[in-house]
Amino acid sequence: MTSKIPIILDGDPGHDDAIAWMLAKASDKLEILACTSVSGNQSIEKTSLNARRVMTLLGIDAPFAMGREEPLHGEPIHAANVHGETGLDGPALPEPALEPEPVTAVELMAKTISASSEPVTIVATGPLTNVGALLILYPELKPKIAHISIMGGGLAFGNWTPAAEFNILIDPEAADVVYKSGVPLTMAGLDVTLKALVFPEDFERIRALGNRVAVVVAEWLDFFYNFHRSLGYTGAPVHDAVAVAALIKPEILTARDYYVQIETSGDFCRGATVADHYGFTNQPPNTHALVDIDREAFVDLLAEAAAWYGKESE
Amino acid sequence: MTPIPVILDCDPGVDDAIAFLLAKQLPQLNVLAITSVAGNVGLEYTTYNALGLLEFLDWDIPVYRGASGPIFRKRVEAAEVHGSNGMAGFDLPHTRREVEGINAWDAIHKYAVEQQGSLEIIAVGPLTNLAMAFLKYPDLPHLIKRIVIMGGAASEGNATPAAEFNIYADPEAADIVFCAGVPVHMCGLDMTMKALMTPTELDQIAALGSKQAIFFRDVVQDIVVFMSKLGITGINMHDPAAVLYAADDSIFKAYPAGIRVETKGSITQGKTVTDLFSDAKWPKNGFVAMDIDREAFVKRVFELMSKY
Amino acid sequence: MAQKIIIDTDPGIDDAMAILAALHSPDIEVLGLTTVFGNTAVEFCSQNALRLVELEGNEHVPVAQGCGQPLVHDITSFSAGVHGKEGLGNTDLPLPHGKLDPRHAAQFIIDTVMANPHEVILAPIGPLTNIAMAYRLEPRIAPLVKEVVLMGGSAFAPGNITAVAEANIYHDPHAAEVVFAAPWKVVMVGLDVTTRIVMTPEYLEKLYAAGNPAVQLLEKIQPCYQAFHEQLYGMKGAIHTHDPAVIAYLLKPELFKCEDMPVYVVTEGVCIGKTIADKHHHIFSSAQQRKGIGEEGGVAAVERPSTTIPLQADEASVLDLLFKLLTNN
Repeated sequence: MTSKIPIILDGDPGHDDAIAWMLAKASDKLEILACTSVSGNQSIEKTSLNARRVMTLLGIDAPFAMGREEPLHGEPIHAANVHGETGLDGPALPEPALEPEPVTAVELMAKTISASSEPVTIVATGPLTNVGALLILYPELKPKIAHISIMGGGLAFGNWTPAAEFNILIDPEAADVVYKSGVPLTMAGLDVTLKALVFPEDFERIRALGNRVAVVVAEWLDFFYNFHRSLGYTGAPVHDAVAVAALIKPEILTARDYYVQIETSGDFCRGATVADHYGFTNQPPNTHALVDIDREAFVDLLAEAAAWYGKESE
Repeated sequence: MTPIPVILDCDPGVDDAIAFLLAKQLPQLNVLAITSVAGNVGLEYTTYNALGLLEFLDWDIPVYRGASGPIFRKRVEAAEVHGSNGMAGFDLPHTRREVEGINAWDAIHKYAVEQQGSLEIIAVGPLTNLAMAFLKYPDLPHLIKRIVIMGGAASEGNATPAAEFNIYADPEAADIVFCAGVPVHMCGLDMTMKALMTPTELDQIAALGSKQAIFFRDVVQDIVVFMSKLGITGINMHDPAAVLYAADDSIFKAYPAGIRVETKGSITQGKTVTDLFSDAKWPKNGFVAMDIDREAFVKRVFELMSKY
Repeated sequence: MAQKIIIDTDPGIDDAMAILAALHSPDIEVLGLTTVFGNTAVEFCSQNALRLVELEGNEHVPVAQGCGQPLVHDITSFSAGVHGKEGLGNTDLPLPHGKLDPRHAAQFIIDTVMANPHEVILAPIGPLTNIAMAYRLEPRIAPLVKEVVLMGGSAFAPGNITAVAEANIYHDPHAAEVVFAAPWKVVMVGLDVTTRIVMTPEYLEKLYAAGNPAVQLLEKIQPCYQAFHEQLYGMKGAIHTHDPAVIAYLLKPELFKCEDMPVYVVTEGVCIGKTIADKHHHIFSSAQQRKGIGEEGGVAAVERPSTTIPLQADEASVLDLLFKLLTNN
């Protein structure tokens, strides 16, 4: 029997976070130990409510704790134009079947990691505020963090600003802590996630599966694509799900190992992820950076996961 | 078709030298003058090399001396790439030519006025001279049609991970130039790292037999060695690509973009921050060259060198 | 022998007083006025400079217009609340007759210094943009300039335009950095000393009573400046003596107690425009290996000569000196 990878899901659902969590729950390779929310796509209250609703929809049986509204440094920024007023606009979702734990997200992460007999992998699909705070407050737990798989950054380009991708831009100081921590890091940045496009015909394939989760996922994709279409995209880039795909089917991804630094200052470059392509810094690589993906295999992965929920309810 | 009146602002520099060889033969360009700047090596060397190259090519155009260092920063050099004399140790022919009596920035303004708005600048070194000219002459932006630079990069760096050398050497000057109001065509590393010539192709140039063709192959050999240590076989023709782009951009792919220079980030100083499609939607102030048809480029270089 | 000076200026109410005092002095030869943006737009500053040379028959003094913007950034606002929209207290004076020198201010400075080696003192009393430009355009002027005596900055006193920055430096911190780092002698007459030299309403009344065209102009334009001092500092009719202190220093440096130390200018962040007077030489010695500006959160770690900073003055004597200058014809 292959042992499952114990994971903590840390995100700011968010349509693509929710789809990532859907992918994680359906996989027999992962065991979800805890879920935590971070402020980003929307305010912490909204992302936390969304997280609990998504956990209920997917049947994730694990504790949940809330993060904080502010990044480590600076003012919060949100993406209501992408994810809507609730942060997860679109299909109706069930009322949450669980309350948040009476501890902060960071404390829940620390407790979970401490208590686990195996090192834990953190899947971070939002700004890195919780992960950064965890590494600062509990440095002794680093040996028990197997891996951090993030959706964030962009080595070639940004999206929210020309140089920075949204998750890193919201909390560059936290990202800096993560990238300097020495913990093994897989980075699903815009370089790969903009290739992880799901097209309208793929939405139909998922919707046709008919189970409750599949229908909701298809509607999330509808909403998410609507925003992206106005920017000229031909499909929905399901960024966050790539961070999960990297754990369950790494063979569909191409990666390069780089030394990556985070810019926290500057007029235009705050939040930039800067990779040393040519090795000028002589620093050892700290990031397993995903640069390409087999799009069709990725869509198959999502469809298979959505189908799993139909079998589950049988 | 009337050739474009241009001034070549440069810091020879090995690939600047190749750019000279090609610029002289390009029928689309009418190079009115050379302006020198400190960059790859110090101003004394770059000016001396510019004069020497003109002597070597029997090319009768004036040289105007420019800035000896960046506007604010301490001078940085690339002597490990271009050699301590900026010409890989080669001795260019002695010349009685001298620099002209006025400074580079005054010359740029003078020619811009004379050309009544059709003057273009090709700048393949740090942008200090152009920035000084814009600071001194508020009317200058209206008199320059466009600026083609070898410098910057949308997605990478060579001086540091984020910054290309010419921009890194004087980021404040570069930002002044990008904000001056003249369209800037950025031939940066995104394109020039694809403008590779292989050792075989270099030998084919030398086989043309002229002293210029042989010089072309020989002067770049130290850089070929330098590049091989980075895992690259051959030499990236940065400045020559920019000059060819200025003459005829049909073998290149360039896209409109909003471009500003980061002058303050501790890791990203000197980065040309390029907005092609971000949500921030910066106003477009120039173009960034992202691709080149390498084979066609090499063919063009060969054709131009055959004229010697 | 009279000291040869170029006054680089953004008139400006206290600039006006300084310029008139200099023009009155037999011991100062004003070789030219060069104008810069600052208290208001450079075009207004140039008009005011022309008015000042014409006021009492000094039309032979050339006026050259300089930079309308700081070197690197765009100017965001002028100090209209302090000096009035047109720089002379919103008094709408008649237009001057004279014409500007055709050269850019920086070129005028270069030409004049090169023609009078080791003799010319640069007396900047506005943002340092022209001075930095002149040096960058022609670095050879540095050893040929006798000294640079500027009004600007603050070693240890609070700022005036922000909590930490003085206005002239704040308006172009990059230019200030160039000036303080260049290899020439700089005297920084800053807020440490200028805010202690107070012209009371009684002093000003006595000044105006002399009745010459200079003090008559000052009487007309001063109220705007007095109102600003009332509003910001609660000084009832009194004003600080910024720019004129430079003229006093030129004529009688012995009235000032000075210390020498390197000065660094912060070019970014919350403290932008602050002049760091590094009394114990911390900055360069701790940053020997680094290069370039922007390395330490906006402070260059580049070794530089020490600046002479007046920290105290015999205020009564300075006021007396200025009084005598302005009231004689």
